[in-house]
Amino acid sequence: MNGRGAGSGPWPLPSDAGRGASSGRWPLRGDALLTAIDFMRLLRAGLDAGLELPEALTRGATALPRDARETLNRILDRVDGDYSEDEWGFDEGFAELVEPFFAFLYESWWRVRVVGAERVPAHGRALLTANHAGILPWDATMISMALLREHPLPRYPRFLVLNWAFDLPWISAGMRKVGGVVASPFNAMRLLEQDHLVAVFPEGVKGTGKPYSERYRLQRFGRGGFVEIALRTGAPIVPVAVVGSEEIYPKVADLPAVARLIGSPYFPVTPTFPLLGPLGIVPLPSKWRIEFLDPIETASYGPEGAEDRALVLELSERVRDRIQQALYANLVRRGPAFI
Amino acid sequence: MHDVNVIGTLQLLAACERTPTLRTIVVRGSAGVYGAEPHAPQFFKEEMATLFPLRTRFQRDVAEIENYFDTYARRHTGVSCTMLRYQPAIGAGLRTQMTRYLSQPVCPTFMGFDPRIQLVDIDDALEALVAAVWNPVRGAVNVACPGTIGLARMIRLAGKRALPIAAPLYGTVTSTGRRLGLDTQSDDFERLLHYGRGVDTRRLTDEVGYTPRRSTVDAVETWAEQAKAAA
Repeated sequence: MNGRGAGSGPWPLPSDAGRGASSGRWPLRGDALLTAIDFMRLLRAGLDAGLELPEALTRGATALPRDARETLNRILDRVDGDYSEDEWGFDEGFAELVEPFFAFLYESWWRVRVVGAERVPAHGRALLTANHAGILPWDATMISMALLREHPLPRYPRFLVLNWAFDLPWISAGMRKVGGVVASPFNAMRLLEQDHLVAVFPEGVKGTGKPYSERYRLQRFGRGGFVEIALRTGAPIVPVAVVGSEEIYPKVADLPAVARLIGSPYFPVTPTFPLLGPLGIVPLPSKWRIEFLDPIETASYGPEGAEDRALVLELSERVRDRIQQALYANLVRRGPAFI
Repeated sequence: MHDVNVIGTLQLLAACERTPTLRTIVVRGSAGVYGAEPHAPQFFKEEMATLFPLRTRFQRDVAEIENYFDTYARRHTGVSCTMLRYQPAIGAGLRTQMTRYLSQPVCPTFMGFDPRIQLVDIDDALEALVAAVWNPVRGAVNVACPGTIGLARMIRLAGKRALPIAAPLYGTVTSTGRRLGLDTQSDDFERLLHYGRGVDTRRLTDEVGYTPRRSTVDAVETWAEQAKAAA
């Protein structure tokens, strides 16, 4: 764990740390409380003076440390529509705003160790291919974090999300904002043609619905569609092995009747869900390792290679094999799942 | 609407049959034929019109019209038929479902959904039509300004407030509004507000040879400024 751990909060120390009791391990606590009180006092004064809420918030923000003030200003700008999204709905400003939350998951909750991030091409298109677990794409967000944190030239990867997520309120909007797109080969092709980094999970629904006893046993990789996409666009395939993601929602049973009722691909029963209700979607704090493997180059086969079934299946099998082996190796290296 | 679109097309084609000097037909169609789908690819290509079932009346009408022209084009190989599939248009002084929607004091939205909307600026819409007449290509061509905009951002740029309504209640609320004499929305437009739609415009730029001058975001910003100036 490094500097920005759980205790110190998303914002660094205010520069004028003169007031408040700053004692020992938690230097921020006293200051933060006083800052919050100052903020509320100024906000209240502003509202009493007849200002609109946004202006009152801006005035209150003078009491905050500089970083927090910037964050607040950015949120206020967004309220006026002053932000930009690309044609896919990816919103870098939003992704930066929610980063502290994912950083917490990355560093403290799942204690992610990353191997081989430098093997991901630093520019141009590439297709990241990983194993998949859990109905929410936590693994995709952790792969993003790994690249942002460990890669010498960080960039946001885009990822293909299970279609079902786009029927759901908030989740659909949130997914798009952080780089998710509907899992359609057309989307993947267009993203690759635009030289993006695209993450796919060829196991698809079969991977997310695995029972706990079958964790880290890769399912069939569909019909090798991801290989066809890579061949057509000449993008290298980077196999990624994610260890830890398959313990966050240990599925012990399935309720197909309920699943049909709500239209989801399956309805998992885990030790916490649906027993604890909405709390059940809190993922368990397993320990994670993400290994990026050597890229498999596809450009030399040419786009017509995509028509060659034998080649597609062979490449697909090779990728699956490499991920499976890396999964077993990393499982051993990680040791116990939760400690 | 149905009468004008479908029956009108039939009569127009009947007239075309009797015009021996005819060389080109350019139709102002609609990208509504693709529908608005949660699982759709973000950008429809021209050949993807049959990816999803036709769900609304308007969509079926558009598909029917396209079908008539297809049949006509197959029988008359000497005539080149271009079907321009337009995204919803926006522009100063234009009264369309989209501009009416954005001119309301509050804009009802589906709670928790921020669909990607793609529009065509009215100037680009007209010039694309001219370009297609000069350089007719066979088959369908999508016409839209490049890029998309999130509905939430569009409403904010227009200076309006969104009124989020939970999806299961949306129909009830809007039909009550209709009875109270507020603006009505077609099924088609409602689906657009729920799921959005984008189209791939490469055929327009590469084959017809027209590059729209505004992006979708520019088109909305320009419209918002002009609407504010007019108010």
